[in-house]
Amino acid sequence: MQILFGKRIADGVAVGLARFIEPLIISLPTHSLTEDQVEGELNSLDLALKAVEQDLNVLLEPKLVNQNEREILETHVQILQDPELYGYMTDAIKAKLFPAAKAVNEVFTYAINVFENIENELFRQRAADYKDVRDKLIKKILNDQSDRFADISEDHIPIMKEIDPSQASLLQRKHVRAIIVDSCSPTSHAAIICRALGIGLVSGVENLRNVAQNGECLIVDAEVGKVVVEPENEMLEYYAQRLQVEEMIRQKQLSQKRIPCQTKDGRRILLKANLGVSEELDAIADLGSDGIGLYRTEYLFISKDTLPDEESQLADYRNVLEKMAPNPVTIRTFDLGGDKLSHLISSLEEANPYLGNRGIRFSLSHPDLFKTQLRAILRASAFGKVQIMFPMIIDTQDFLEAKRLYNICKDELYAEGHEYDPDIPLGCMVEIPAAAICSDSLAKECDFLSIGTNDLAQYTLAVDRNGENVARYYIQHHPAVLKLILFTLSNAANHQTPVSLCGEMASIKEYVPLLIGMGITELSVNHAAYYQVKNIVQKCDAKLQNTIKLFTMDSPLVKVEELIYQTLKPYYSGNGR
Amino acid sequence: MKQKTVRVKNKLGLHARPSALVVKAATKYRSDFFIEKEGTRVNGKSILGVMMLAAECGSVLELIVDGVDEDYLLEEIEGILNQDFGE
Repeated sequence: MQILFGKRIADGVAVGLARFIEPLIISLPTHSLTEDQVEGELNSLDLALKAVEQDLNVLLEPKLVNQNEREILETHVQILQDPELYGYMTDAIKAKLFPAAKAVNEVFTYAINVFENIENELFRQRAADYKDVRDKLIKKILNDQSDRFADISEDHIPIMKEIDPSQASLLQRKHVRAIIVDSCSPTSHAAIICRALGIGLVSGVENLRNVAQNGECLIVDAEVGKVVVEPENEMLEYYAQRLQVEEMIRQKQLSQKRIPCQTKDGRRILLKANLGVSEELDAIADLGSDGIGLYRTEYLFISKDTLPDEESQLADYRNVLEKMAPNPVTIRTFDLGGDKLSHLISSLEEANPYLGNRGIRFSLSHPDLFKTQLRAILRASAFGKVQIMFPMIIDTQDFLEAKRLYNICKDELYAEGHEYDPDIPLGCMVEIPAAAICSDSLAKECDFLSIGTNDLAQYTLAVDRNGENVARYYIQHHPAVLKLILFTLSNAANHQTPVSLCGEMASIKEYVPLLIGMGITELSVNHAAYYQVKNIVQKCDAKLQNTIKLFTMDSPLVKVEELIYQTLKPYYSGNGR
Repeated sequence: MKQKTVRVKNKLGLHARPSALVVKAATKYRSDFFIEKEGTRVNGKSILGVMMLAAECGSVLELIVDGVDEDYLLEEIEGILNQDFGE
């Protein structure tokens, strides 16, 4: 037994037989065709063009790529469809009697030379696209007859020099669970596809080619970049068990995924996820949730040196909407201000940023920045279902002003001929006590409300939630906070305005029965807590509603704590009813 | 046949994205479409042709359309060339 290590590219565990796949050596044919071979070569050029285009479409279709990559791939498709290029290539085959591969090489190399001699850097770079497409075409033509993967099955672990996206999806169709390559960038298309398809991928495993032989048993544990050659029985057993457990968990989650989230007595609760950084998106899309209840867009800024423009925001929003479709995504406009943007915009120093120019206030005082975001969201709405929510609203005034700017953006886009959803619901966060107190008029104006408990608790209790010496005062379940939530719920109910709760509270198991009992019908939680919350919701029943209804929120804090930590405990502790 | 002189307005010129948009639009129409720059004429439905023009900001282009739907084609291409492509 030997244990080797490489680089983790895509996670996955597999036990199988080593299978070395040698790289294809390309040697261009140099001979001239005879007249009767011309038809065949024209045909093989056509087939190759079609096949490469299909490979590209595999990538474009499942939306695995971001906007930049998409544009590059679409350009490659246009190159394949170029009537002029096609004419040159068929001419070379017909008139010069070149074999198809040689014709491709000659025509593309000519184009590449032209691009490489253009002074403008932006145009010169295009040579790379032509090189890429040329190599793919030539490989296709020469590889026509030999399928190097013909006898690969789920029992094998292919070992290759490198891997391209079409090979990755081909191997997945053959139920291969893990692949080892000599080199692969974690950001390559093949890597993205392996991650999306759940195939383990390890690269650069040192010494593997000296140690392992074709047909020997391998264990690949991609998460730690580990490859075991000819494992001992004990280790085999361990991994066999691990695979079994993983399969069981997967089955269980799949069964959870299919059940809609509802209480024991059949009340449907919309359970959504919160999205912060884009790396979470795949995990969230996989939950089987009712959508994204809070998309914190300010993270687009925080990791960047420049303000993202309309196009780049559009690409980000579109990607999220398409991944979550047909379920809705609630985009919260930038909650910036205070120190959150100091490296990009010189804003006034504020003695008390939490009470300063942040959230919607910041957006309204930077209308250009705000409009860029609204335009990007509107344009993204053509690709999925979206709702817009404004942060740090105190009453209808700021909401109506935001709505006015939104309508201006809508008119602009209409005039410019862009497509968008004309009926995007507009709502606001209830996170400042003033908003809860004015929730009657807000509920009347807004299409929906969303309660942000973190700030609501902080502002209601006048306590800095990050402040260590006042931490004991930051009590999210304080009766004052709960009363504001109840008040908001009852006002919203009068106007039949839906309310969701997207704060930290929704993700804390002890609070879930309390919130459901108070009449919340929509929660948005951290994705890590998703199934736990779903489980608790499924245990909630009519009796719980009654218990909470009979409880008076005028009770002192100790009584509230007794309710949460004793009376309601059976709902969230492991072996409940 | 119709002919129209236009000037490239966007900062970065007719690079990959604008070229792709022009070609994508042009291929929808049946009419022939050529672009001429400083005496060089290319097929406007060929991505290679359009990009090889390497038309930078300020370049003067002659758009030549010929066919049953030439008016619509010309109108759409002009519309594309008037954008700033977010630059």
